[in-house]
Amino acid sequence: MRTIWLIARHDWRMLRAERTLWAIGLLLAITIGYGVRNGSAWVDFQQRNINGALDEERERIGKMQRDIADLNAGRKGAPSSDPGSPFAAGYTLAARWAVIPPAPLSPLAIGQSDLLPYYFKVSLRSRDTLIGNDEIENPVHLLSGCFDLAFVIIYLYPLVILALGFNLISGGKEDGTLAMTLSQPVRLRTLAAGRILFRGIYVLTLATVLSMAGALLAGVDFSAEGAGVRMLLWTGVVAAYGAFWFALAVAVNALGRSSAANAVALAGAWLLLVLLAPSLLNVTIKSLHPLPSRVEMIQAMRVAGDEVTAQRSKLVAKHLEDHPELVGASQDTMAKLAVRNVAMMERMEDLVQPVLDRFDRQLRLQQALVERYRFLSPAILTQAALYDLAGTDALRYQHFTKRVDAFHKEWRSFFFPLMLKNVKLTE
Amino acid sequence: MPQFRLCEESSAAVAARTLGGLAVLTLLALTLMAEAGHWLTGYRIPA
Repeated sequence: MRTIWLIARHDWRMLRAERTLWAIGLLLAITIGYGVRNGSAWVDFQQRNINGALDEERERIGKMQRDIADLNAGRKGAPSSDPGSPFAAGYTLAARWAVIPPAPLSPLAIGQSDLLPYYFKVSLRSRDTLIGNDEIENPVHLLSGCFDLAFVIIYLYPLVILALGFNLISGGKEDGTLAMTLSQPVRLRTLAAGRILFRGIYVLTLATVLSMAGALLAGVDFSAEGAGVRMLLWTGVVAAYGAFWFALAVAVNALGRSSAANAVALAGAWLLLVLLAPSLLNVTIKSLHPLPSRVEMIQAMRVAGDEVTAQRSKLVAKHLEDHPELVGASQDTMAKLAVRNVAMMERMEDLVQPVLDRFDRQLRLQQALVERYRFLSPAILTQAALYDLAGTDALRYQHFTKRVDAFHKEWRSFFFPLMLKNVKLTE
Repeated sequence: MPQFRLCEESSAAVAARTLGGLAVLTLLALTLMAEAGHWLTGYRIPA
């Protein structure tokens, strides 16, 4: 072990004299800084939108409560239409924003959070209208993904490691220093281990220290629940991913080829594992289980909308047949309107549901395949782990969408009985 | 009126999932390193 440390120290002195170390340090610092800045800007944007939505909701509901109080007290300036009507409240006045806040480590990996919705306005409007709240974003940006810290770790960090490791043994062989070093009582394995030790510590320290510094500058709250553990695991994943690339560099060096051949082989491995394997997996999965297109969804909604409007009377009659307890209540004008809305909405959702079900089924199948084949490339494995830790993976957003669905049902089951009985909200 | 509540997955569950990936990566690195060490053992300085 002493020999390994001696070699590591010697390696440090040798590399310090070159410009490579400083250039690598600078490159990592710039890219990590830029990545964290991008991630932080995105999270700020998300947070601003969420705060704006929640402020709007607070203001709207406050105004509604004041209007109800004014109307009940018969004060001057009270609104002409009743804000306490369950129709008005359930459809617009009391509608709630359901939001998913950025997780503590979100500035480190934007992940799927720029593709998937992070807020929905939940009201009595049908489920499909929830989907239409998308922000407009340049599709080219979305396709290429963002330059964040996770991108630096997955794509650039291996290149830095390979730049430090491609001539680990071959370099000495070519300039004649290896034979001289091995004439001393030291084994080649020990020599390689010593060199890897120094370079590994250097790159890993840079990656983790700069990431931590970036996270602190980006305002990551380490006191938040689980943030410390997640950051520790993030460091562990970065270390293990780095260890893999160092191991690959040593393995290629061990084949005994020239530095140029090693560089080509390692660049090829990077290309295969970081670029080709994820793209091929993506293409294969999308071909095996294609998602229904958005156009198909919009088309299904339009057809359903036309059908529901054409069959309005039939639908109300059928709804009353299915719910005989509503026959008496439905004589009131507002209750009639409520029954019509419920009947039409339920039919509309029934018609669109097959397309949504097919979308969910295909998505589940796609995810099952990713889950199974992510082990094909360390880059896919690392990306999945980093997004998971940052809370920007698809699973977290799907869970959010499911919760929004459940909340939408809860909202309807709260307001529909009030609408049918025409009960006013009093506060 | 109903309120929206987002019950998030616990950090322990995320940690358990991440540890699985971490274990695979570490195992891969160690296997490669061990294999490389084995190849290096047989290295002879060219005459």
